[in-house]
Amino acid sequence: MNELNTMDKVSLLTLILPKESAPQVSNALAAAGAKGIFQVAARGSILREGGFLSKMFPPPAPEQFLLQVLVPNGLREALIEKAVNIGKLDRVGSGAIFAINCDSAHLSSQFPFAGSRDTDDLFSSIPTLEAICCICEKGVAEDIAQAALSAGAPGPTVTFGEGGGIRDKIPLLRMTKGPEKEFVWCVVDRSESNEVFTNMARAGRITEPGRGFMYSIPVSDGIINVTSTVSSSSHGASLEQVISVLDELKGGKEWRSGTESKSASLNTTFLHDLVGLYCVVPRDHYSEVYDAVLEAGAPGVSTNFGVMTDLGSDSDSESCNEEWALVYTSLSPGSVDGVLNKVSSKIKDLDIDRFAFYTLPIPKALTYLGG
Amino acid sequence: MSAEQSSDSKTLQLSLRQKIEILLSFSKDKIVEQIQCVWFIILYLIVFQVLVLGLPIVYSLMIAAGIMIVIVGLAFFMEGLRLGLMPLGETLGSTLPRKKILGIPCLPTSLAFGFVLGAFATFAEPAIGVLRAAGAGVDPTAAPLLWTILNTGAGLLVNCVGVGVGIAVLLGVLRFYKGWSLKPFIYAGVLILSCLTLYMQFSDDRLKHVLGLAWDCGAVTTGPVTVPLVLALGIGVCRIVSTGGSSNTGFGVVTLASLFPILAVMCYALYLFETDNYFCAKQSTAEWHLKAGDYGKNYPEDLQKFGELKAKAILESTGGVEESELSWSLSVDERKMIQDHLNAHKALPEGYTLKTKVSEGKISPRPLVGSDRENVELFGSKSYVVREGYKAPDELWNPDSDIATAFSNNFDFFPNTFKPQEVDKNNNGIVDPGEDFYSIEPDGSINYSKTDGLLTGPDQDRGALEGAIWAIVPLCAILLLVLIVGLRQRPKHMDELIIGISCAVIGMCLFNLGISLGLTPLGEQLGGNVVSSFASIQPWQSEGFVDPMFHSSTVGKCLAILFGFILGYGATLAEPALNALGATVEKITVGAFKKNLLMQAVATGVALGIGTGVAKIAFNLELWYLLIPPYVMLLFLTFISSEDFVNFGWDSAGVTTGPITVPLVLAMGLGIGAKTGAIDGFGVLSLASVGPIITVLTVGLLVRKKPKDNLSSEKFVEAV
Repeated sequence: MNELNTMDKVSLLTLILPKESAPQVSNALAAAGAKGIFQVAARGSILREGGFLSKMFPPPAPEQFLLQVLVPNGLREALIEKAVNIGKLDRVGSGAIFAINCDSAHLSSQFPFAGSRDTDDLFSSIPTLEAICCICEKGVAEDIAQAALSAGAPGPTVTFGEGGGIRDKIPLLRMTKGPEKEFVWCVVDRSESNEVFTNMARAGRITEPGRGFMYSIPVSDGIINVTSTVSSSSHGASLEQVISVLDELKGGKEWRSGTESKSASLNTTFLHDLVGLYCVVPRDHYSEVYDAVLEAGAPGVSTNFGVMTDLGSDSDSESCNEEWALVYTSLSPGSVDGVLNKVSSKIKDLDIDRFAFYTLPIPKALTYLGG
Repeated sequence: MSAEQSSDSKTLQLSLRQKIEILLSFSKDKIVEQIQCVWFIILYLIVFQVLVLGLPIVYSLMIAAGIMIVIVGLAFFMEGLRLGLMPLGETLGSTLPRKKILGIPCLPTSLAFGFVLGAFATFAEPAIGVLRAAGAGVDPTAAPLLWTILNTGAGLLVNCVGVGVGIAVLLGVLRFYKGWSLKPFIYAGVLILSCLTLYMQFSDDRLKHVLGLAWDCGAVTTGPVTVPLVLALGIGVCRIVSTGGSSNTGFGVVTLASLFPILAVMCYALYLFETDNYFCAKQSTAEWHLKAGDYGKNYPEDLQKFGELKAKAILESTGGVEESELSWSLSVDERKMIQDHLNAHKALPEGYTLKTKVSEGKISPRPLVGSDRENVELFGSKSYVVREGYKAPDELWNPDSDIATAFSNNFDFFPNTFKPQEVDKNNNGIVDPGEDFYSIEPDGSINYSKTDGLLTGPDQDRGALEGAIWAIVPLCAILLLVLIVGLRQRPKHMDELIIGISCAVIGMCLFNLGISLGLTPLGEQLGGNVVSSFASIQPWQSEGFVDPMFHSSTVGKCLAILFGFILGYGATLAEPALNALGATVEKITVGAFKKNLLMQAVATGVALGIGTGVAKIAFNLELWYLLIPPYVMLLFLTFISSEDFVNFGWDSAGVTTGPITVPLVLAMGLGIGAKTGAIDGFGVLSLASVGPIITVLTVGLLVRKKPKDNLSSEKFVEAV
């Protein structure tokens, strides 16, 4: 009963939306056929302008939601269009939507997924954007987000989650290090991605032990219009408006990466061509899956918690949220199948009927490599 | 610890040294974190005492040790919250709405559970001891109703507050399920409370005296264990219960838990009043009461304000000096030396002066020849030779304070100086434990019916360890029981939970101990000594006197108000419950609202509130003048604020008055009150809890920017 349906023409659609428009857009997506919209609470970033007052009373960052949904490639275009229309994503500061081609996806029959399970034509779009995700200790994200901002990334988004790896292998002393992690997401143009990546890594000191893990994923298409609120109201135009005007004047975005020389490259080796393995499970089962992934030999695991907005318990009159967890690990291509098999057999043992795997290509990752 | 090394083995073997290293660096971090919270208030108190008032710190070693213990205790306690209490609350909160307990659907069980939790939390952390301390000087003749509630009715008072908090948590949970906004609750609550306050203020003098107690009850009920637990529970529930996009995020219970006890105490007072069931009411056969008429309406004006008049009389008779006999004393050697000097020079030696104590109010004028002026001689006065200046005790450690006994025996929470003199049963000059609990018989004699001084109900008369266990263990036991037996869910990391709860108990215990060793003596001496800015006083535990700092008492009082302002600010930043609230807000909003924003806003608010409170005591203002206008203003602010700030702001009101602020503030309030004739020290705490609501809402309105209008609709499509 728990056979996995394997598919390879699936995209992961990710949206970053302000709190106000998120319910509308996710409803619209659900209406347009998407299923299993995974919603994580997030915060945007603000450019800090120092000053005594803003240190004493730091202004709140914009509240956002990060939405993720697995869609068959056939449905992708329609959904993006729908989301752009409803969320007015073409306007400055209204949010972002982007799609990532999955290497493969394995879904259980009960997992909510858009109707047509038959495959469609693969898009031959060339990735022009890159999503950078950095997993770091709680409290560090602010610095990393600021670094990303100053490197030119539009509005990095931060979510909370848990993570571990080595921590879970220490018996009791593990409690000296909380599982809480912060995730910084930002999507940048390919031409800028190197600099942003380096800046973020340096700000987060990712290459030092126990600091975190960061990677980038090629994004095939999307619209990025996330704002970064400027904490002072003395500016007439938002930063995005200024940049977009500059883009127009310069006739492209090339000018942005013109200062490449000033960012000295990191003195380290990147991990290349990893595979990101993502498991989506109901939160009740997450700790088993988490342990299973670790047991199967993954070096580190991190988890985001969220709700499936379009699923609610229908039995009660009180509407309940279904809490899900997104368990993530990155592996070398060779070990993916092994881990996958171990975890899925574990899942079979546990009789979890709703879960999904998908894998994404990770061309570049960075962490402490020991020695 | 590299990634490779770990991938094969299930558990990582660490050498003992590595383990110790990890633990050490961890503890260092935590201690530093707490020092960052506490340093300001400690430094401020010391600097103020030493530099501004120019007085030495008495028992400095004990205070220093106490402060160290407080810091370690706080570190343990916060870790306990992080590992044990908050995960427990959140797990339970997120499980409760989804499962049936013993076959009963979730809503009724959740509500019942909320009620039990709220009521139980009050019994676990009764702050009634604090209120009794504030009411230590209450005179039964002047405020019989207040006196009854605080003494013979104290057990019932705790029950009332418990029921109030229980109903509050119940309503709070119901609110989460239904997705109701907090605002209507606030409007209704504030309106009802304001009307009741005005009624009690103007209908009868006996009711009026209860107001301060009632409003303070609301402020002190929610302690450092209850708040994080209730917050975590609310967050758990709200994670599960979908409320259709409303911004219910688990806050608001603390607000209700601050409003309802006020109502409960007012109702209790009204009930006692209407049933004529208070000390020396109608049933009394005492002559002075029989003459008083129904509800004492025929009381002479003097009797109705007995406490104030008495204090004023004492104040005037001593020319502002009202000190223990000890202060006038000299040693035998000194006496001989003065005698010799007097014989030789007919004058006092240098360094000694005369102080006159007036005990009767009679004078004899003696007209001067050839003038319409006269010399006035005072009868019944005594002159003493005293040393100029003062002499602080040499001990670095208070000989009465012993760490070993503090674990099981509570230190006296407040200094003897603030207790009424007539309760000294065995006439040994100080009020022994137990003597502060007394009743006055109808014939006017004092009856120490409970000579052990222990209340029958739950009270704070517990030692550090006992108090900590009482505050934490029963609550956690209930939660665990419901979770494991009722909901059949095992928490993921049982070992972490147990360690967390133990940490919380250890931390709470050390914290209590450190407070009574360090913060209370420090606060007490400052509270007493700050009065020297406008009155001549005998410094805390010292011999001799200091003269007022300013000649104008108004200027001196203003300095005291400023002192209260900064004290409120610093003490609030160190409060563990506020730290927990700030961290929760940060967690809930994924860091969009920084902890610092809330902490600073709340601290400023408390500072304003305590400044106002000190002004109330120093200038003898009526409480309702100071309470009703801010609450009316709050109604307006609440109306125009966004829901989330309303939740944070009102919740922060309940958490501000915790174990650090209360002893410091009360000691100061009582110290100033004793000099200005305001005998009961109520009201400061309620003002300290209204202040932060105002500032949080105001800051919320200032920093929150409206969502940007979509002015520019310029297309900004990046790819394909």
